[in-house]
Amino acid sequence: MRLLLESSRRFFYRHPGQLLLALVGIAAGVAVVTGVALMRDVLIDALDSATESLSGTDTVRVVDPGGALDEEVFRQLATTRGAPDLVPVLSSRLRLGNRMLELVAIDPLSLGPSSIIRPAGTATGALVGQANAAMVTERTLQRLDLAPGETLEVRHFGQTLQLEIVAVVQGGPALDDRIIMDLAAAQHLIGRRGELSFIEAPSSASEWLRQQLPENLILIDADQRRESAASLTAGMRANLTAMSLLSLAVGLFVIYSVLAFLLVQRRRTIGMLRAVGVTQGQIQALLAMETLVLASLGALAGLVLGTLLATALLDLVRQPVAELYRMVASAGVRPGVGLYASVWLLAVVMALASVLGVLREAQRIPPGQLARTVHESQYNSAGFWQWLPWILLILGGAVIGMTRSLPPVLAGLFVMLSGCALLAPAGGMHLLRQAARLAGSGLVARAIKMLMSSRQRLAPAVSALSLALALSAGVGMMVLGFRATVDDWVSRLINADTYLTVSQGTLDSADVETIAAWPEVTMLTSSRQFRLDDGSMVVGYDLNPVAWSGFEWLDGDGEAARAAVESGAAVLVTEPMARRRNLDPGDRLELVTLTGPVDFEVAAVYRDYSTDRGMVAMIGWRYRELWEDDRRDSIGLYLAPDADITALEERIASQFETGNLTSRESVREQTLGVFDRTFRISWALAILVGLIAAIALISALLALGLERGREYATLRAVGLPRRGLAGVVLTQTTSLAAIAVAMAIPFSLLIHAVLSLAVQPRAFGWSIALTWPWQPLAVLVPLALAIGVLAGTYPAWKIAGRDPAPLLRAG
Amino acid sequence: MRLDAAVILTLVAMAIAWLAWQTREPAAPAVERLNVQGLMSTGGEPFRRVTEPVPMSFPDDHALHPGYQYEWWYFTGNLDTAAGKRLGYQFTLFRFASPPGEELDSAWATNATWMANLALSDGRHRRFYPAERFARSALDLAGADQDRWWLRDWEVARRGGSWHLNAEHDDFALALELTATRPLVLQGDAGYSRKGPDPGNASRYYSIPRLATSGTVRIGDETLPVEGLSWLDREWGSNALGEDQVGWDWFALHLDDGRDVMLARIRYVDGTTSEWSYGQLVFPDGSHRYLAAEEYEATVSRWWTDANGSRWPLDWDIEIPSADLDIQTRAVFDHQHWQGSVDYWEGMIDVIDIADGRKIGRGYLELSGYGEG
Repeated sequence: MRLLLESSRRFFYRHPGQLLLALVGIAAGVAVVTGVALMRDVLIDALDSATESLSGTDTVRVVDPGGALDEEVFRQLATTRGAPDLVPVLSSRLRLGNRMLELVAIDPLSLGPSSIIRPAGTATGALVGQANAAMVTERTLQRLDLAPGETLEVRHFGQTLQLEIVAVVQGGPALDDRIIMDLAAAQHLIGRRGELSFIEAPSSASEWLRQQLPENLILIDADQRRESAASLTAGMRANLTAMSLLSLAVGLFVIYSVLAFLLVQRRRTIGMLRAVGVTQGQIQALLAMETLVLASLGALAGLVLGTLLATALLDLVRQPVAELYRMVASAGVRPGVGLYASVWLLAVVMALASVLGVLREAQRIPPGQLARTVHESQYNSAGFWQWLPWILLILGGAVIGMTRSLPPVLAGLFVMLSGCALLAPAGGMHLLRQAARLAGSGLVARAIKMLMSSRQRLAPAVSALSLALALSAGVGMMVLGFRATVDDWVSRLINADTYLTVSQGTLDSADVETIAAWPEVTMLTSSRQFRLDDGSMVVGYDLNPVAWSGFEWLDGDGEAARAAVESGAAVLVTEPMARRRNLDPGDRLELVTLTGPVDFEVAAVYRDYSTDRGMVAMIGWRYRELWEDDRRDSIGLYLAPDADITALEERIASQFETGNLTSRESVREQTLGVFDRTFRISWALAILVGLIAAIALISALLALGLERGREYATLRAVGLPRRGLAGVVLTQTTSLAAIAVAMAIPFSLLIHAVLSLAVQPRAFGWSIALTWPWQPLAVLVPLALAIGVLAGTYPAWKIAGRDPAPLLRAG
Repeated sequence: MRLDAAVILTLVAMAIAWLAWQTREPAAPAVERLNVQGLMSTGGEPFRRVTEPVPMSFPDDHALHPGYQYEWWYFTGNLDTAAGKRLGYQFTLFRFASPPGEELDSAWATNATWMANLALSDGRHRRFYPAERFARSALDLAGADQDRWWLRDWEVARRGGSWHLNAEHDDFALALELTATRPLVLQGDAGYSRKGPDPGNASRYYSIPRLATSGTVRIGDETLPVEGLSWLDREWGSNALGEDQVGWDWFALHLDDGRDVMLARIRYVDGTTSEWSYGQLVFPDGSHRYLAAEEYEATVSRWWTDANGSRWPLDWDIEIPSADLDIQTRAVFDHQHWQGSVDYWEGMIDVIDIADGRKIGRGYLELSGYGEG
């Protein structure tokens, strides 16, 4: 065995490129899986890690479900006998360019001994008493490219704040992108005198707090907060999971392709070893050992790369999470030993499993065989294996069609992709046959026929490549299709000319009346949102006929629904709401209002992408009555044709100090901006998968070139010039890329359809109108062909330059 | 070992080490300490100074004195349980004013920070229970008026002729009634307690040296009825210590013969006694006599080294010829050491007559300026 190991060591010494390729292939697959897993965790930890790391772990929170908490509650609790350490917190979102930051304002003097900020420390001294004093962690300082003492200019609901970084606070990634301020300064600065967001207390004080709390306040523990973060980001995490599973599938094919290629190269060596008495079992053990070592090292490198990858890509995930779910996640991943160990183990086991076929083949190499004579025919055998891809496709499709929950859909997609992977080589060969027939009997036909005879060798590469291409293109198509749908939705919905919001405080009915009387304005709409306990929204609408036409009805009769809603007896629900609660028109829906539970009829289901938590729309007067809330978040203004915009703006400025007009077009742009940022991570992963595919392609092409040495030598020997030989090699590599692309096109359409019609509705609750954007294919098809040509150039040059004689003698 | 194997193993080890580094928990930050001596010697311009005696009036002067940099309300006492168990306690409210900042539109805007230190010394088990709290002087979270001194739910309230102290922490609590058994003593020159070369290096200082104390103490789940004697110190000022003065050794002794002794030994950086040290001898009838620095001599008889390596003089030999006292003070146990935001030692002590080795009293010792910070 020692000698055998020595032989494999020498082999890798002679072929460092192969070793590198094998390691890179494994590492790339593992890196994507690790990276995605790490990013998913960040999304779950996002909600409360910041204050937890300020005031100590294992805490409970006192919140007012109705909104801001009165600071008087804190005073009451803190001065009651037996009071635990209580930390008052006011938090709000800040914006720095495109970046979302969280303002965490605390009373540093209320922090207990387990806190990272010492009440007596110099940081506290610097913070308290200054209107714009803030502190951040060293990491955040670096991320924001700031130095202590510098001023940070941030936006808070349309208002610009100048914050001076007076101290650096120690703390882990949970405090990333958090601006820590003193409560007094924060209340002053953002105009929220008297308000807290919540009070944090040690969980051991839960019982005491429950006895003291007024009835309208509730206590939330860490598990509940984590759960709510988990469920808020469920859709996004599911998307990431889907992508990582798909990447894993591609990565496994790469591993298989790389290892199969290593075997090809050593067929001669193995034949010789067998001839000198090495048994089949020893050969298998050797190959298994090699796989184990390669997979272990590659997976280890993959863990490192994955961690770096997650760190690099995390912002792509954090940004939409901050925008959509109002959660500023930490800017650093927090890997655990468990995660590393399980990913590593998974990779090694999968690699061993994926080379079982290779091992079987090695077993078949007879003693003394020094050249390639594989019985290709056995792989062409009809029967079960021929039907397997179709069976998998149908099975996967059936699973997807039958279930309403997400995990089985992802499993079904995985099964379908396996089917695709198996189908790709057969389909590719069929295409090659057609191409050879068309090419007649020239050099091109000869080149293609040579390629066809290596079918077994090429199969994993074709699978990996077509799958990866399909994945990149399919995800791209889904995102573009989704974008078109959202664009269509927002353009219909947003039909007032301009929208008025105020940055502090809100508008009310009196404001609505005032504005309605202005000569520039012909009609108005207004809306007010209220967040329910489960994160879903209730919105009270005052709509005019034009605004009503903005709804796209998915279920129910629009006209009848309008009448029912205007009567106050019925509500509309968004598609995610309908899916979550399993609601159809005619069903009853109970809402817990300020004045108690009220039963409504569901009049219709409408298209909406504003929140995946679901939304219930009702007529404004009914909302105001039930929630005793006269305020409006925004007013839509329909302007007279000859309206004087400047006069209107002046009116707004004089009437509303912080009033802000947003045009229809910029509402649309903002919405699509959020959308684009949400899906940047999908694009990034699609590109990564594409890179893995490129590795698969290169390994396959190298295998092809090296394996065919003798045949190329023969061609040279019978008089084919160097240039002609290079042409043959290039034809082969380009054909290989071409068949992979050809197979990838139908697969990508399939992936697009499954993602749009099955995964999105189940992950987020909304459906996407199925369109067929061609752009991803228009980019990827020429790109893959170009890689085929480029990746063929090196072997072509190398092979053409070789002296044919030794290769011929070797056979 | 072959070179290639060594290289690979090194790379593997580096990768594993890097991954392990990624999984580390963020380190706990170092404790930042408050420098009380620093606060007492660096008064800024905006604060009022104590420069001469002014008449005090009670109960008005029990309330806080705005405008001064620091102020404290300081109870210490020795207690006995019914079973003869020895306990000591300390309850202190500190108020540190900050220079006026910007005007903020918030009820949390503050001009002072309050700190409360609560400690229980369990003599039998030689255990020290400290608890520390802070609050800002806003929203009535902390304050002091004639009748009530409080920080959150820890409070001392004056009802009739007695003070009622109630303070509770996780593993211990105090509920005590304290009644003065002799009149209030104005320290220094009618309450003007000078501590340094500049007339402004001074504080306003009064004490109630002997308060009969009774009530309950809770340790864990056990509530014990207690009785004993307490001492109240009240002090306020700005910039009281001179620049080269680093701390003080403060003794409050209840002697069995009915006399009370207070000694405040102010130290220079080099450890020598400042000529501005002082003391007070209180007689059973309430009359009292000022002790100047040269009227007593205190020498260390035993040092104790804490876990950080700081040395604390826990036992002392004290000679006060004018009072005919030649005594030794001994810490009841060593670890009565505050390591919260302020590093100091405050604990119960016994008073021994050096002549015959007899225990002739009890008291409290405070050592400041020896620790880190």
